[in-house]
Amino acid sequence: MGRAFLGCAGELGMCSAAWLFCETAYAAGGADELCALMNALGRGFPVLDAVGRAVLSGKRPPLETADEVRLRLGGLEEVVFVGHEALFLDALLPTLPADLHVSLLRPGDAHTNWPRVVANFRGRVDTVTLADFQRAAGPGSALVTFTYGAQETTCHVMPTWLRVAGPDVRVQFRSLIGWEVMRDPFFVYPRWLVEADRAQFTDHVGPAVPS
Amino acid sequence: MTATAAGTLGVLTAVLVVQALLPGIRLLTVLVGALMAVGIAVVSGTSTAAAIFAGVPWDVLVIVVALGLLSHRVADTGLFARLSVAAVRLSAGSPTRLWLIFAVCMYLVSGLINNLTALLLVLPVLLGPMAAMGVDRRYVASALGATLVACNLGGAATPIGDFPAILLMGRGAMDFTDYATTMVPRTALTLLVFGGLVLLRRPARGLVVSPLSRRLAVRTTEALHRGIRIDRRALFPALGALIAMLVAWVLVPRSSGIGPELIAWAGAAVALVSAPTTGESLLRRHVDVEALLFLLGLFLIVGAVRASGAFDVAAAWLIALPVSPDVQLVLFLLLAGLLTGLFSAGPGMAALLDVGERLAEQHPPAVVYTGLAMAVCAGSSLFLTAATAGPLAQMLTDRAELVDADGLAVRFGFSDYLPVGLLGFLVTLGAAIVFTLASA
Repeated sequence: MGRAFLGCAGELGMCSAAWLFCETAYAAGGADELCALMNALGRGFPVLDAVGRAVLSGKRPPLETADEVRLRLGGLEEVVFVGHEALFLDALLPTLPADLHVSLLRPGDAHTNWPRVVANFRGRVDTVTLADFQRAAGPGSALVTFTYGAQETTCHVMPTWLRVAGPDVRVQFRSLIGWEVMRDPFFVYPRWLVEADRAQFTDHVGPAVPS
Repeated sequence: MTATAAGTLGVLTAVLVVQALLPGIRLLTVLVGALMAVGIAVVSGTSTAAAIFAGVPWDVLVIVVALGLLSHRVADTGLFARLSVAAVRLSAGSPTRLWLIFAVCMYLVSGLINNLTALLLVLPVLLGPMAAMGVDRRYVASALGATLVACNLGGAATPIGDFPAILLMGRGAMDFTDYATTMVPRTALTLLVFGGLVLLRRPARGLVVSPLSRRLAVRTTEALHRGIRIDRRALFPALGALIAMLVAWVLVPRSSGIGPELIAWAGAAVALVSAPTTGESLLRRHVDVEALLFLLGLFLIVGAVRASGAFDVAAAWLIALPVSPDVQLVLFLLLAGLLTGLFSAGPGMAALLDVGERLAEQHPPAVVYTGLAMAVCAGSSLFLTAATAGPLAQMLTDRAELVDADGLAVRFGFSDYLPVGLLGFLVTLGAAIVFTLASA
């Protein structure tokens, strides 16, 4: 099951795959089935553990935050997403103006079926790599990444973000936006992710952060 | 046998062996072998280079290219992804139903388009739910093995499914309707028997697939293809061209001067012209030059061997065996199956068709050719390396990084495939012999 989750997370994003697995488990066998899934995978995949807790307490993914992201992208020409979360991109992309060019940064992950990932967005997104994403830089451009388990001053991001958002790159884009996709902080140690300072983002969008 | 015949036959044999043992340099092997065979024929005065080149069945190459392009055109429409998702839904996450449905689907698809193109799109979808089910090595070997055998049977079912059948139609050995009406029921029945025997082995035995795993198998497949839609504007011209080609192959007589190669060419042209930019891109990037050069090299070697009279000697030797003509035919089919298993379908068929033509003078031609097609199909299923789909399935399975319930990596290699391949070989070859003797 862990391998299946990892494969799914590679194409949907960690949080989106977690919602899929947790909601399916809850629908299949209620809280018992979901707890069993969390016991089996939660320690290895902390995002799934956190999402499982959200499902158990009746919460839904914070898709309403897509509106706020759309507003922050207003007037831009280029946006590069570092990392992807299918659930959230599916909510955001149809609302964006057609003249806003959207790219996904494709990390050097040989196991992800990127043609399939991109095909799901029906021609709305292109891909860029670490070697060429700066072609999108400019005063009308933004970098967006997904953040996980934000707290008052910190959050967690995919490691790729740290490789992208160095001091030289930060000045080349108008905005660096963090988009929080979880409602609560982590309960278990967030492996797969790295801690980042929320202050590095020009905008950090998401549900209210617990103080 | 003359020295020239022995020399060209030696080159043919050496090429078959080396390309099977060293697939990494098989194209170079075949092209160097072609140079040597043509060189022997020219230097010995048996034939001229011009005559051997003129003997290459260019119409067969045209059909191969046209069908390859049409396959890409259909593949680009998203049709296979949607069909695969529908198949996973239909399986409801049951491991047994999953492989059965995919085997039947691949049989049907392989009869109409290039099975390599179809497998490349379908296998990643099939491997997704397998990961969710936590399958083991035994199940993967049976499920993928059965799917590959089904691909081979589907390819043999129609004259456009795979190269051996295309060669028969292109050379005018059989027409479309006669071949299809004979081979569709035979291959379907063979698939039924083979599928039944695989079921008796109970591939899913020992798998513990929970209701959650079954649901996840379906839900993850749906999620991974949630936004992929069939491009109807691209699909309708491509399918329309394919249907028109099938109708023309059935209805247009060869005596009209319009051969199967012209029909294939016209069909591919219609499909490509309907979307000119994509069509041009397909022409520039997706013509399988490797396959074309490989087949060209083989045809040149076979042409040189033919000119030397070696095939006549082999056929005369077979016909002179002190057994009944039916037993001679059975021996030929056994030889065809084994040679194809060792050297793969293209080389096997290219080398054997000439001998088959001599046998067709002793027996009803249709009996010999359909028997040969079934025997070559059997050989294609024997080893994982006998058909090009095998290594592709192996690569895609490795890439999927499946693990079993104990966390051990699930591989699909030569020895994993062998039991299913051997079963497919025996069932298909047995069917070839039974059907041939029944109609001889």
